[in-house]
Amino acid sequence: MNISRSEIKRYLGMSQVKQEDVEPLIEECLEVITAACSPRYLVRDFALEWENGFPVIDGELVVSSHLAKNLQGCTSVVFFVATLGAEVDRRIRRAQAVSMARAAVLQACAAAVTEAFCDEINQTIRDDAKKEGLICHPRYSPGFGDLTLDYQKTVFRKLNPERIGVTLNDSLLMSPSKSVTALIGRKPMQEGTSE
Amino acid sequence: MNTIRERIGNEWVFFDGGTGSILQKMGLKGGELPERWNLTHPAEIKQLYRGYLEAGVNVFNANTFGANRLHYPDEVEEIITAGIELAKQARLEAGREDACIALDIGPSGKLLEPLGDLSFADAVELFAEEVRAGVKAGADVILIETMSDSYEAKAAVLAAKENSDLPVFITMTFDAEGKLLTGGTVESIVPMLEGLRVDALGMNCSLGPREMIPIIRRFTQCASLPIIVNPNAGLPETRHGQTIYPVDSDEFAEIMSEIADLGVQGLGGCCGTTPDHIRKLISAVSKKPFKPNSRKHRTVISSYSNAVEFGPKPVIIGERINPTGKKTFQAALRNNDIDYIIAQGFQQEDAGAHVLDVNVGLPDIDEPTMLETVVQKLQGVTALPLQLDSSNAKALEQAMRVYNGKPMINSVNGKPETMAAVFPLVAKYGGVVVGLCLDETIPSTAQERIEVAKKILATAESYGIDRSDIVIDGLAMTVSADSSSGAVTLETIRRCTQELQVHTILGVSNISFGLPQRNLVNAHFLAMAMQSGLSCAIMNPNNDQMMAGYRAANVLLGYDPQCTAFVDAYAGTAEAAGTAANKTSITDAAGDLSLAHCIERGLAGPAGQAAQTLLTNGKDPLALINEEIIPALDTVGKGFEAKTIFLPQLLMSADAAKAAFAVIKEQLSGKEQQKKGTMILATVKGDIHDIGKNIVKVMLENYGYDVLDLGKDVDPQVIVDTAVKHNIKLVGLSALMTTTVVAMEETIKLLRKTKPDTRIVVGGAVLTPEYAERIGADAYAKDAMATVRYADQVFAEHND
Repeated sequence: MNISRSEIKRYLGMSQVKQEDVEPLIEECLEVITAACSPRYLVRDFALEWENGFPVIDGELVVSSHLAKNLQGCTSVVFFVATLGAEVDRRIRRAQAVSMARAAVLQACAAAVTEAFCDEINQTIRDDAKKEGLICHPRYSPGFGDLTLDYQKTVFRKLNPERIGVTLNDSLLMSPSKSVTALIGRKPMQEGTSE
Repeated sequence: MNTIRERIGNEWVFFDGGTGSILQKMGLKGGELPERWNLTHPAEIKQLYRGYLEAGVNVFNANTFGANRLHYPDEVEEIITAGIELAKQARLEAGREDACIALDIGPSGKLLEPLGDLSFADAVELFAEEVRAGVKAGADVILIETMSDSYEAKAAVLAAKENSDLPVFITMTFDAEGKLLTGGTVESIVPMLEGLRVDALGMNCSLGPREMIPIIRRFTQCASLPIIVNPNAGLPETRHGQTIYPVDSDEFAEIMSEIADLGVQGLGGCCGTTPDHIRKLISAVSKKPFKPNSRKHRTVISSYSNAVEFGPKPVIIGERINPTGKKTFQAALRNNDIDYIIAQGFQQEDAGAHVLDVNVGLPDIDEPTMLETVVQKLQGVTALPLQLDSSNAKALEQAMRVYNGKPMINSVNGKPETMAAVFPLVAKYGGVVVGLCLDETIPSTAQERIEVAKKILATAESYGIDRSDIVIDGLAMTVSADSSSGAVTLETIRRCTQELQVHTILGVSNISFGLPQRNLVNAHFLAMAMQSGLSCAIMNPNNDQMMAGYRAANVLLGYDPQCTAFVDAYAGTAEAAGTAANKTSITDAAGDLSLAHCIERGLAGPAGQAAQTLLTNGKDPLALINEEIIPALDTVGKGFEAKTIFLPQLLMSADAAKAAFAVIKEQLSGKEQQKKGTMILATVKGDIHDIGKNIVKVMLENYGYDVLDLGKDVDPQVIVDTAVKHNIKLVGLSALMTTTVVAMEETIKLLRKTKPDTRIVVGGAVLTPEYAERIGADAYAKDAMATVRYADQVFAEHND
């Protein structure tokens, strides 16, 4: 996985200027997170139809104009859920008892690793789509725009992410905390179109 | 006809196969809850059961896997009753009255605290509701399956045991490396489940039979109970949007026949397997000679992920989590400063402890609650198994109940009343128990101590506790008071090991009370005890000299192959450096810096040392705070506000200041420091992200505030009650998501109604000044420094 150091710094609210006192801590924490994480993911694709300009995914209407815009022109949609696993949360919790600096940097590293992992999954999905003559739209997650977090319930019903140890609480937050759900629209490749 | 409890260890027992895949073929839609079909599609459910009954299974699952209150808030009993009633009918219709109906219990679908938001007690109650319904409806056996978290598995087993007399079988789900989703292994989960006295255990789902073989071998190595193996029909593949399980019934039966030869006792299938798979499996295996599992007599304790096995190399049990004779520790207990206690655990782990002893007994605190709290906190952050150390049986029980693994228990002795109090707990929850070789008196000879040990072993046996779950303490007594006591203890250890073949333990440092150079005596005594066969030492792993004795003895006794551990610890250290073992960390390379400089540069170790040096040189603690620490923190805080330094540096400085404060606190020990005020911090109901709140907390504390940290997922009423009780002037609330800002608003409303003079400051990822105003907060703080500034403002007004 290609982990972006500048992404980590961005999460920490830092400028991109080299900070000698922090760089070693970032590297050390990145190692901890890399060792602690056990990345897992689930993917499933669903038929996509349209009704009054809104997407109908696997027979269920989703009233979200932002998602409709994201999925415009698509004929199917891939759902994925990805997680770094429970041990990462444990490491971050553990650090909080000793050093908040370390905890904050671990947290930022874990976020960057999650992002890199999602990019990797996204690439696999794009490659698979390409083989079937499909191109992918950018990924979109519940909570973006007018697609409320409530949609997490639907995602969970369809994918059963409990199988990879990801659960949803009553406030629609996922555990382990370094978990992501996303939708990726796909449409047939045409001459002259690009992603 | 023998009962299923007798049959499972004495003959082949065959289980059924997949449910979901078959119901989907009958028309169950993706996302539809299958258990509802017990009410809506009785004919199909009976047909499912009949398929397996006719294939010849001995145990078949009622369709109750997910029938818990999270999926069916008001219908648990109805759905389970229907599922079992249909099973009874199917059994009668198939002429298979010999077959057993299993109440099938799957995972709740939620992660338990602290990973998720389901409390252990609520998890037990969730499963208990299923068990009560299943028992009432007439299930013959309880099969807990597809568990991928040790803690949830424990909750389900306790619920089953506490609400029924039925046999309890449990199968866990592992990945290809043999790990549970929450990090456990075969070796860590088996001791816990056997300690909980299930009737059979094993694995199901996730993998096909071939992938399970290496994991099954690990089961047969460490488990004593009958082993059940229910694989999927291979690893699922997706073809044209359909999930396909590639292993057909012939191949399945062939591999399962190999698996039967590995020494398992129960066989069946899981996802993708059909009555056809099971029929062929039964015909391939039933004629094979049956071999029961063997008792392993291993002494093992475990955490959620680690197993620690005793012998021959001694186990180090860190003794520092104990208030005896430690003023700062006692103060931490009284002030509920759990982080201080946790930090004692980390230090010992870093120093090489394998197990942590946990003793939080003080006359004036609620020990049961405190032990339970500390155990839950510790097991959330360390993978070391714990030794629960208390003379209070209630405290032990509460801690054993919530412990995520198989604990060590300290202790019983030869007095009947201590054994009567503790052994029933061990028989219920599992554990390895320390038995002290004393009763009404402390025997002065090895022979008398051996007699007490025998009595303890015999009494344990009468509770069904194997001697492998007893560790005898040979009693290290002060050698300066009686010069024979060292030899008596060593002789006791030797005879326990050789004659009683039981593991042994010593609180090593007791031997040297009253002597100078105690470490010298302790280290030698430890080495001698190791030669006599000592299995574990309760000691201070932070003590370099004792650790040196331990490592050297391991080398000399052949417990350190190629001397690897010894070389790792000492290679490159100077021969003369007696108390070396300086751990280098990136924050420790400071040299001679002033305290203020250490704090500004965020060097925690040196900051603590600098504070210590200043105090030793007679500097007044309060002057140290006001002249060194506060100005340094201020410089850093201003730099942060001016964006010349950033969050990590701000926090590194905060950590350094904290280290200095800790040293000063030790010095003041007991005397109150001047505080600016007391405020509440909490992450609101429903929100489980608390790192932001904890950052704010550490900053506030450094700036002289007392923080009542109510934690995360805090009920509004708890916040209001605490504010009223302590007459709190300022409450800080944190929320991460739009969904939890709702709970923030609710908390603010309730506070306004009940305690209108309290100010409220809010923060969190989705909040803005406008949003904060809209939900009725007094202020929005964009970061930790802003919270400190706002607190300064509020308390300045208040104190004027």
